[in-house]
Formats: sequence, C-alpha cells, structure tokens
Amino acid sequence: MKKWFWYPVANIKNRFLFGAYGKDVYIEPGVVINRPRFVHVGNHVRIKRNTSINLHPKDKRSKEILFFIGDNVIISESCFISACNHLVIEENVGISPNVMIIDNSRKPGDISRPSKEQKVESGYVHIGADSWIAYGACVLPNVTIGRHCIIGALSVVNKDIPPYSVAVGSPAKVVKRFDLEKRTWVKVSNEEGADGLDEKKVGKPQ
Amino acid sequence: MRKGPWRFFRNFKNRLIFGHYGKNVYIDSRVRIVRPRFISIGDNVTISADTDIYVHPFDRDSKELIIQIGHNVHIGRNNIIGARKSVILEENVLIGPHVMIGDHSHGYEDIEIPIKFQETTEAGPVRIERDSWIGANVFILPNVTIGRHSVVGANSVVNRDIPPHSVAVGAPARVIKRYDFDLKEWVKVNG
Repeated sequence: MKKWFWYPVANIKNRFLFGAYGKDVYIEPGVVINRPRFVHVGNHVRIKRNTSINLHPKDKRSKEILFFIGDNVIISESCFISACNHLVIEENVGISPNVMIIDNSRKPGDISRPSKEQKVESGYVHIGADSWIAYGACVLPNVTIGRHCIIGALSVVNKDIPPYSVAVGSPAKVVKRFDLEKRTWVKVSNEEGADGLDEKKVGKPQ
Repeated sequence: MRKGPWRFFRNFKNRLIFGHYGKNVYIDSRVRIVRPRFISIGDNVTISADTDIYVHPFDRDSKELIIQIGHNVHIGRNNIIGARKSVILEENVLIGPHVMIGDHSHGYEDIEIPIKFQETTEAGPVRIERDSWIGANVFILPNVTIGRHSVVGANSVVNRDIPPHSVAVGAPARVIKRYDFDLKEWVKVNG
C-alpha cells in the first residue's frame, strides 16, 4: 500500500524540485538530498535508502547543474556524495553500498586557524559509463574514472583510472586492463601499472 | 535489545516465512530480507537495524537453506549479506556494523555490456566459523573460510582463507597475530 501509493506522488513532487528529472526514477525514503535543484537525474535511476547527497554550490542562485546522474544508474544504500563544483556519473554506472564520492576537500593551509573555518577547495569527479564501484570505495576530488572500469572494495581512488581497467587498493592501482588488440583482460605488473599512479606523486603534499 | 509487544507478533510471522527460526530472535523492524524461505536462524540471534539480507538462489524452487545463521549470532547495523549459493555463520559469531558479505561478484569480461547488466560470477561458499569476530566496515569476498575464534580488523578486505585462532587486518587481509597453543598466548606473526 505504502509503496505504490506514495512513489508516484513523490515522483510528481520531485519533478518540481530537481533540476532535471527523468522517467521511471525510484528514490527510496530515507534518501537525503539537501539542494535537489542542482541535480540532474536521468531515466531509470534508482537511489536506495540512507544515501545522502550534499550539494554546496558557490553561487546558490545559479541554475547550472552540479551533479549529473545519467540513465540507468543505481546508487545503493548509505552512500555519501558531496558535490561543490562538478560531479558527473555517466549512464549504466553501478555504485555499491557505503561508497563515498566527493569533489571537494580541505587542504593543509593556515595553521593559526582551525581547518574547519578555512576554505574548501573544490575540483571535479567524472565517472565513466558502464563502470562499477564496489563496496566502500572512496573517490577523491580531481579524478576521472574511465569507461567500463571496476574499482575494488574499500579502495581509495586519488588518481585517474584509464578506461577498461580494474583498480584496487588504497591508493587504487590498476591491476588488470583490457587489451583491445588481443581482446582479453591482461594483468598489469606493479611497475607497469605505476606509470600513471606514481606513489611518490601520491604522497606529495600540495 | 528492544522488547516491544510487536516483537512477539513479528516472531510469530517470521516463524512461518523463514526456512528455520529459533527461539528468542530479535530482528529489527528496519531489516530487509529478500526470500526468507532460504534462511535458517538459530536461537538468541540479533539482527540490528538497516541490515539487508538478499538471497538470489540459482534454483528458486529448491528447498535447501542458503544462509545458515547459528545460535547466539549478533549482526550489527547496516550490514549487507548477499547470497546465491551458501553463506554460513556458525555459533557465537559477532559481526560489527557496515560489514558486507557476498558469495558472488559481478562479471566484467565482456566490454560491450555494462557491468551492471552482466551475469554474476559463479558463487563460492562463505563460511565464518564459530566464536569469531568481524570488525566494522569489513568486506568478505566469495570462497572464503574464516577459522574458529579469529578476529578480522576494521576496514579489511578478506579475499582468502583465514586460519583458526588468528587476528587478520588490512586490505587484503593478512594474519598479524596467532594463538600459540604451546605457549598458551597470542604471538605476533612476521611477514
């Protein structure tokens, strides 16, 4: 009774609240979206309960869309998504429970003031089509994840991931790649995989 | 543990829909269970709020029990248990919050199809033996047996078997401590 009565009502209500709202969208109760006006939701999107989506635009009166969700995207339980500037999830992406995607973070700055009061630096996050982000992964700002990637469970992504690859660990490293000539998945050795993901660069303070 | 009057009625209902249902079970009202027919629950089991238990059996008409939860098991908040073949939690297992246990994973081999729409890989059984403790935010991959009285630390990814009487942490989880039966104490393991 609850379900089939309230979802159409909520969908009609959401069509007015969101920046753009597709067909057949299913947002479960318990999802918290603080400023839905800045969200673009495509068709056939499902957002499961306890997910919180926080949007903190610089200009609150602007009409641009900060957080883009493509078609056929599923966002599972208790995810945390925070968008300040530019966050894109392309179509057919699956996001597992407990995943955290942020496009803004704090940088070490003035030591005389608490870091809570200092400015938050915002970047961008782009998650390519057909990807899968496994349980508990964390995607940090200024990251582009390519097409058809898999991000392993509980990994931290702080560098770009090339398309058609499997990345695990914290910080995430590419362990498998699709070889387009041989048409198979090939294992990447550590030295070879480190070219885009140099550990020294990762640890460097900014 | 909350003991409202509705618990009596809910337990009565659950006894009809579950595969096996013990005494003194507390399942929070926010727990979501898909296909409880394939689940057996022992006595004195607690399942806390927001936990999801999904059973997607290969053969939906079979009568076998896919998830078997023993006596005195505590499952924390916001856990997710996804089962296609078999997930066994033995007696006195303690599971912390935000733990995910899956006995199958997504196929990604075909690059033409989105990963979301590909078939899941063949399932491998997960078995957590008695008296063990799983910390918060742990991810347990398929084909894993966690031995008796072992501890898995917080935020670890378990992708291979953990021997009994050991402490394992990290991603991927490796054993850092073991119980030495000769010395009768816990010993650190190097490497």
